[in-house]
Amino acid sequence: MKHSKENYSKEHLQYLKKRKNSKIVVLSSQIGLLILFLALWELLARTGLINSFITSSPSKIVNTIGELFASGELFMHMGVTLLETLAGFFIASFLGTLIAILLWWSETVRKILEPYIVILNSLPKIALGPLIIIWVGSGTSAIIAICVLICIIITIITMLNAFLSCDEDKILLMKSMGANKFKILFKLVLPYSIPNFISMLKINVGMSWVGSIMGEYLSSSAGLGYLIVYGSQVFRLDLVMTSTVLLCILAGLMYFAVALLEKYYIKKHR
Amino acid sequence: MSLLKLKDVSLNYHSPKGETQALKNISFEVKENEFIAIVGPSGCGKTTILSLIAGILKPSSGEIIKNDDGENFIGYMFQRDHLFEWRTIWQNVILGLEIQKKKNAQNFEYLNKLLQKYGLYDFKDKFPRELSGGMRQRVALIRTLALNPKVLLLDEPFSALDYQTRLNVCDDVNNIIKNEKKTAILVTHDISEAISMADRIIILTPRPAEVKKIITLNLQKYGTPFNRRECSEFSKLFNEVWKDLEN
Ligand SMILES: Nc1ncnc2c1ncn2[C@@H]1O[C@H](COP(=O)(O)OP(=O)(O)OP(=O)(O)O)[C@@H](O)[C@H]1O
Ligand SMILES: [Mg+2]
Repeated sequence: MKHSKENYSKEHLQYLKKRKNSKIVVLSSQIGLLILFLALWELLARTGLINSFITSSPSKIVNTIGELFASGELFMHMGVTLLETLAGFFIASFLGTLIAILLWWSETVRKILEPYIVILNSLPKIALGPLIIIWVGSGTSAIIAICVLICIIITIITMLNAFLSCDEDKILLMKSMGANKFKILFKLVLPYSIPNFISMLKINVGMSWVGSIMGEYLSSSAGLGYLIVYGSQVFRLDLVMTSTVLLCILAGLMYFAVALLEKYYIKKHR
Repeated sequence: MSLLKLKDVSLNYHSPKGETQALKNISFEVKENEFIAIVGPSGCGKTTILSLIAGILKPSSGEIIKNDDGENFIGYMFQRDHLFEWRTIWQNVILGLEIQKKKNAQNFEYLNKLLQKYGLYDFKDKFPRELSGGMRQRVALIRTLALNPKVLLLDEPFSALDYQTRLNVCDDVNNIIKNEKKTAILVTHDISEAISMADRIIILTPRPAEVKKIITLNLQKYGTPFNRRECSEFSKLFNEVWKDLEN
């Protein structure tokens, strides 16, 4: 039921106001907490209570960002890592979903591959890193490959479980109306699994950053992961801290993008 | 003329644990525009009979004769409405047409008429979650009617509803089936429901199901299922069916 605002009862207006107020409290506390943390960090560093050579400080991080920007390296490093992450993220999410569809389609293939998937899932994928570098050569392609490897197994498992959880009676209903497997897939199983697809994307945001940074640790000549390794080797901890902060921002933005997608989906279907 | 005939139909389920005989020599006929109710103890094989008629299962032995060669002879309605939550009411009711590539003006007009007639037209663009249980069940029935089946199979379609709603939806569904001149086979646990809707009641034995008895009712003169529940013969019939189910 849709009411125009004038029709709202006093009670309902009060409820809305209360809701809005609590939202404001939460948001302002969140921002306040961040400012407090930054201020305390800066203060402790300036007064020498903590060693800013090891811990860096907000002002030093800002300076470092400024230097990186001036030399033109800032966007280069951010761009390299972002590109690797996005490539790994999209390849793993879509290839993984595709493989899950194939496994859903054929019960025989599913049974044959099941133990392999289980073992691959429990294997720490990063152990395969050196092998991958030898196989696909060091550099961007190896990093993307590591990223895909880290994300894809869990993608396959999540999506396959989603497909298989589709109500058996709904499938019977489709069959009773003459649907073949192809139609059951596209009209029932896939749309039914969209919420799971979105939560899988959310998991993959985190996983793909793990993949690209791990990859850069193993072999790279640019990127935020490279800066972190390089900075720690030459003991420029400002650089390490700065790269970490930049990572936080990029990963946060990517998560936010997926969250927006989810919000759009919910809005369209509610 | 019989529209549908089951002749000595048996069915065994096979699973790794062994073989389950679900149906044993089931025979009955269904005439055009008849309303059949099937009652039996739980787990005796009622759903199995419907799956066989719908062609989802093949009998282990025996024959199912359909006196009609048109497609979409059968429409199946389940215990739960199984509306697709991500589709609007309209998108839900055209599901069958979509699957069979029969989206055309004539079929849409028929559906619009049905929605209008049964009070759902204003909810066309709503999502299922915005509708009450009774309305959802009506939408499910209209989705089944979209393909214009001759025979409707109803598998405990009201059991998920609360009692009050159930009586109303029972009347509604009966009304729709009579208006649209459908033949119906209703599976139910509820003896009063069977008596209030059916022309004939088929009583099954425990698994493996055999036909124990077929009772012909003559209650059409009382009108709606709700009114039929009030009639004088009702309690006598109820006891008769109940006794047959007991032993
Ligand atoms: N796919 C299957 N594989 C093996 N056994 C099955 C299968 N489906 C049903 N059965 C068994 O066959 C018997 C009849 O099942 P069916 O679902 O037809 O009974 P029902 O009368 O509809 O039961 P209910 O009253 O619970 O709806 C049951 O004992 C059931 O366990
Ligand atoms: Mg059943």
